[in-house]
Amino acid sequence: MAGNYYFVIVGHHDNPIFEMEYFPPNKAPDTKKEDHRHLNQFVAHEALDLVDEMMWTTPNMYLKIVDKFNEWFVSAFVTAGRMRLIMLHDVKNEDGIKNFFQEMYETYIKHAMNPFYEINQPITSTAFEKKAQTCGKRHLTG
Amino acid sequence: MSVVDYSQTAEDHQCFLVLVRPTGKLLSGKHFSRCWERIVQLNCVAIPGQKRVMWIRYKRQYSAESNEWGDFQVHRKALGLISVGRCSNEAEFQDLFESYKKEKECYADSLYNSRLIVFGMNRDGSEIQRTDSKIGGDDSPPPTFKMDSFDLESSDSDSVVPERLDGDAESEYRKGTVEVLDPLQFDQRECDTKADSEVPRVVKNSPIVNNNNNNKKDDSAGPQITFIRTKSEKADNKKVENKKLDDLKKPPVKRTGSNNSLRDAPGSEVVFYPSVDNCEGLEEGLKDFVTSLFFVLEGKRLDRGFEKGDRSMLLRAPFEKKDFVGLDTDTKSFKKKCQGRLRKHLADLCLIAGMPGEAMLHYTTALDLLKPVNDNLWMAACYEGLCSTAVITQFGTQAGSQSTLRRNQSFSTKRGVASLDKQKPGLQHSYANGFQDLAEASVKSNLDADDITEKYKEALMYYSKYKNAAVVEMEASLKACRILILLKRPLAAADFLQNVIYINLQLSDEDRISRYSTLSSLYSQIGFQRKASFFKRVAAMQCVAPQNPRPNWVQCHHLLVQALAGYRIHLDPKDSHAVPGEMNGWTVIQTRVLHELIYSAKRMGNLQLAVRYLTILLHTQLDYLSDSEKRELVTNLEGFTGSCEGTVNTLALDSGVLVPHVPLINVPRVKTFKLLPLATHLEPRNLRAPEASASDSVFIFTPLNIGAVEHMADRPEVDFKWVEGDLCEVELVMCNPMPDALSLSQLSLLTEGVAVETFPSSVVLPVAPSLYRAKITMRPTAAGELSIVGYHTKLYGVRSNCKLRDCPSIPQSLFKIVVTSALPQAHLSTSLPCSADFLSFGEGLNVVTSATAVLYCGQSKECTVTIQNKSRLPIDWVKVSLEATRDSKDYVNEVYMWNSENVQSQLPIPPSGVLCFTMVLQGIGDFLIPGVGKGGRDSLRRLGEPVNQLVSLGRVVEGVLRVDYSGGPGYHDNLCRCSSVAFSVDILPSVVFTKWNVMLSESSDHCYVILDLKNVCDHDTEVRYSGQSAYLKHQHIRSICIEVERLEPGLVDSHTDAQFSSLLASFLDITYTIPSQKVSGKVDASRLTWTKEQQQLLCLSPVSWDIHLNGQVISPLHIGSLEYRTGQLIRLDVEATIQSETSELFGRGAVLTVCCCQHHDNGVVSYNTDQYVIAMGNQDLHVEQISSDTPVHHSCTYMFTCAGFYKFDIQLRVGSGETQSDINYGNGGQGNPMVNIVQGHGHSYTVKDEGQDSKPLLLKCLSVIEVNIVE
Repeated sequence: MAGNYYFVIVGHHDNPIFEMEYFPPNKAPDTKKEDHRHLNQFVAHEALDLVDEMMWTTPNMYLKIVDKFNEWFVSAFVTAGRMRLIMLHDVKNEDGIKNFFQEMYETYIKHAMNPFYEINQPITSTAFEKKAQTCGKRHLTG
Repeated sequence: MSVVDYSQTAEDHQCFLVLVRPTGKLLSGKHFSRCWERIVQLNCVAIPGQKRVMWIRYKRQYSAESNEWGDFQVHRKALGLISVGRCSNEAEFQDLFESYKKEKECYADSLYNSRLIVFGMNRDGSEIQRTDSKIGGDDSPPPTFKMDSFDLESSDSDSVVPERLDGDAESEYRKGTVEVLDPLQFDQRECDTKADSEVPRVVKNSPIVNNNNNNKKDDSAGPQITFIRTKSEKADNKKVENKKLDDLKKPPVKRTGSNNSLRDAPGSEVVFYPSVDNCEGLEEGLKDFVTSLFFVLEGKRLDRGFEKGDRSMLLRAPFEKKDFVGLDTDTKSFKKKCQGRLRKHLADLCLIAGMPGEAMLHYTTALDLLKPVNDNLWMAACYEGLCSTAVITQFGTQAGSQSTLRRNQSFSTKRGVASLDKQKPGLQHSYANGFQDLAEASVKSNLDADDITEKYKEALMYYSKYKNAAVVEMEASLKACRILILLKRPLAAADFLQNVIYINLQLSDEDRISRYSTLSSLYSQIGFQRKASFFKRVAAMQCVAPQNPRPNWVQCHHLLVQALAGYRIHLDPKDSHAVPGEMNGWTVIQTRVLHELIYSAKRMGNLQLAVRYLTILLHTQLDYLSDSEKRELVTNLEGFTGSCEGTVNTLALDSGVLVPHVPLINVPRVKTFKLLPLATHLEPRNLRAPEASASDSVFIFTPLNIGAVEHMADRPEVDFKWVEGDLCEVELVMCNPMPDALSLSQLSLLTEGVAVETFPSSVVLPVAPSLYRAKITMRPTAAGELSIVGYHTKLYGVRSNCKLRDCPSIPQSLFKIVVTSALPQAHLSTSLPCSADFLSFGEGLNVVTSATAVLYCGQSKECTVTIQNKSRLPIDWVKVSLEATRDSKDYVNEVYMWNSENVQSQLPIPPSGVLCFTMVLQGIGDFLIPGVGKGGRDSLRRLGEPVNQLVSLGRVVEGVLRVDYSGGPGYHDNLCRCSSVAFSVDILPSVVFTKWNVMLSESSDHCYVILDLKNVCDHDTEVRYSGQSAYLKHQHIRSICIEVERLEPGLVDSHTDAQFSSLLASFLDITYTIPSQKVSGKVDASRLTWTKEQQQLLCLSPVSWDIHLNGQVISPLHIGSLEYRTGQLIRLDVEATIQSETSELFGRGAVLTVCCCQHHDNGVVSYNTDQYVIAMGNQDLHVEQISSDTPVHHSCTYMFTCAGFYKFDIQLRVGSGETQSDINYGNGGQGNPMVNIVQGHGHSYTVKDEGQDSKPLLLKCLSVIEVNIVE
């Protein structure tokens, strides 16, 4: 259950609007994290092609694992507004990710309702960040 | 097998694999590749006599290892070999031939046939004679064809005799004899070919071209491989050929040691061509060669068909060979395996032989045989074969690479009819136009798209069980993917591609790169641009991986450039559809990729490119970079540009990609871009006001802009003009988005339309978030319409041409301004000091300088105004005028005076010449105390007096001297310039008149003007008048008396008060000096107002009075009274003599009235003195006619009964007999001791048209006749 996760919300122009990484509680983040993150982003980006294609094949928002690269699996969730929630994970955790996505979706909607937030702009809210953190703890690494 | 063919397609299963090899050392790579290009175009050959088409796949390199897999899948087997070499003489040929033989050895196991193409020799194999140009030309002897005999010993399994060969040929074939055709026969053949086909080369390339051969073969008895042509000659050709035969009876002398050697060689055929450019028969020869291959194959296929597995021969994949050592060959399962594999092999052969239907059957049978014995590898091959067959039947063949060739088919319809019939339209899956869609799946196939996918999956599953078959698995995956692309199933295709990544294969770096590249291109074919970019980038990284001993930066760069699109990075900013301010793409990734690109360009050594990429990075990612990243970027950029300046040119990469110039529009950001008008004094104006055309129009001007309002803001035109040869400026408001100060250099404008001289400037933009203004200067050097399209900067060593249309903050895409023809420039100056401040006269006056002076009232001063021509053009026309503020308009012209004739006489002013004129400044004033001095002692102010009185107590008079000037070409264009000097004169008070009056003097011709002067200046003043002088201390008042001649009596009537005042002032010459200030001035009395009485007094009277009281003469200057007693008789004698000058009075009637009155101390005059005075005699005397000779004489006696002062009023009324009551006594000034002569008020006269004669005139005696009556 304890694996590494990289979560990103991707906007309509392939632009990430929120990123977060989750590590198992007992494991400190990698020292070569910076390199790692770049790779994560590249993998998440290339998976968008498959996400865009897969979302038409199913009525579900949760697309399960759409892609994999090396040790990474890529799960995706597409919101009604076509915001793409992408999760890179190195262990399979379908239900946890599904719940995580669902919860993050709700959080995102709440955030998007803020009249001061513009769609497709990076999310800088600390509340949102905190929520994502706890959510990740509960469903992913916890 | 370790070499993966990433370009394989399912259609390759039906292709003959033919190797084309350069042989020998003498063939240059260039020649070979030209030859190769010709060869590969022949990829499809229709088999003569068969309704089949054979497809050929050429390869330049093929490892023997791969060749070994030929038993497993026949299309992997190199069936033919074409060696291309070059030699020029016999010895070289021998070497060449040796290497050819060696080449053949390598593939001896699989080759069906081979051929050596030799360039550099005559077609008959003789050496080319340098001197004899005929040999080697078109008329050179035809190529030597030598039929290849099939090398029976080369492979046991291949030793099959084609069944369908007919008699002779077959026997020859079996014997393996080498048939060398008689050269004469070849000659004929060549002629034949020439006569038959004069077709363009391109047509020959098409797969159906060989109908030439076809027809002949059809004519002859059947399929023939040998070129024994004698039977099929056409009758009409025969003669010609016979002729030729005769000609060539004797073989050329030089001919053919080579042929001798050929004869020795076992089997192979050598073809000679003089050069690559001169080898017409090449395609024909190839066709023959390929056809020969086909028949060998056909033979094998049929042989297999009859074999029925009697000989239990087990076909093996290369890695299986040792597995089967010592295996019991007698088991049932082994036999099944043998049978199944054999069947599968047969299916492969059928497929290649153009019989997919049969192949399908065989594959299915093979599957049935292999399934029970779990021969997974071969089952997988069967599945793959099935899929390929299905694809081939459904979609025809080879969609992709050879499309260029297909297009040519349309030219050869006539010749290709026969073969076209054999090719269904569906087979011609062509992307010639790029859009042709999939052909409808033909009904033939029993596998639909899903089945194909399924089958491929199964094949891959089985393949994946064998590590050694990884290459086959990978190729199968790629093939499957390609098919699914055709079927438009991107997701399924992506699945297969995903599989490719996970096939574990020990690959060389190069292979890995091409694997990723292939993946990338396939991904992009299914529209997965981001995936494609990802793998392109991975491939690029592979090129320069740290463990790579020889990093290939050029390739890395090349691949990275291809990866950009998927990351939404555009080398040309115009391609980007990003909305400004909106994020486009994954910025972190973009930055990373761009950094990689920059690094690769740097490692490539192409600094120019690195600079360009850095510029792109800076331009596109500016909004998303942190301050430290920006700094780092700038440092890098400056580091690069230190050795290589960033240009504005488009860079072309070797791959043909263009990297256009990226202007740094965002650094700095230009907020506004404004053209500045010339300074107002340099603005061109119209010399003559344009005709008011507006008045002609029926429309009334409205300030409303209906409809066009929104367009007003971004109009490119500006509403002012620039002048040729003048410095013109554009103002940019910029802000600095960088964390450090920006130093821009070479800031200049991009212009069109008119030649300009630019003056690049440098500015340093501070870090502050505030805006910075910069000005760009330039000088148009011609007249016309100038368009300003952008600006040029150099920042961090990178030049940028920023177009306004790219700047989001500027609505205009260009500015248009009219540049008028040149005008001179003048500089104005005065000899007076400049004033610290002057009133603004509005902007229209273009004040360039100012002058100030301090004058005392009455003082005057001169100053010089200089107009200096500063330009290279002469000033031909000058107009000097004075403008004043509204309230000083009336007198400003008196303050400032100059001579315009003097100005005009100095024209024209040559370049750098000077025009000077003198200007007189006068401190004018009214010399009156405001308010107090109103009217003076005795004068009365009257209504209608000018309101804006000059105040003598100090004031400032401002005026603007406006100089309009023109010259040069601008003058002809009716233009001028206008500049002005602001003058300001401080007029200080000097002296003022406090009181003024007139007194009679002893002489009747003169009178005295008495003036009270007050010194109101801060200094002592000396006043001079009539030769006398008076000294006035500060604030002192002094009376001065000036005797003036009396004026003509008519003046009072004919002059207004003001005229009278100025007339009188001309007689009064009063000057003052202020010794301490060395100032002198003239006191102007023209503003003094005089009452009518005073005016009369100043004029000569027409009547002279001679008055006696009791015989005593009363002089006009008599002052004081005469004493008489009460009751004493006082006789008054009056004699009025009419002066001869006033002749108009003569002949008119008059009344002389004498009356006694009493002046009270309070100023009241009482005429009612009847109670105290007894008048004896008539007080009125009526005169019938006045004449000069007879004075009017009257006398009358009075007796006073009461003591007191009495006066006598004596007056003469000239005119008609009016009543006494008309005489207005009330107007006499109170306290005035004089008896005034008052002209009667006009109200009593209604008619004036009769002229002066009828005008009644009242003439008074001015002498004071006062008596003091005592008791």
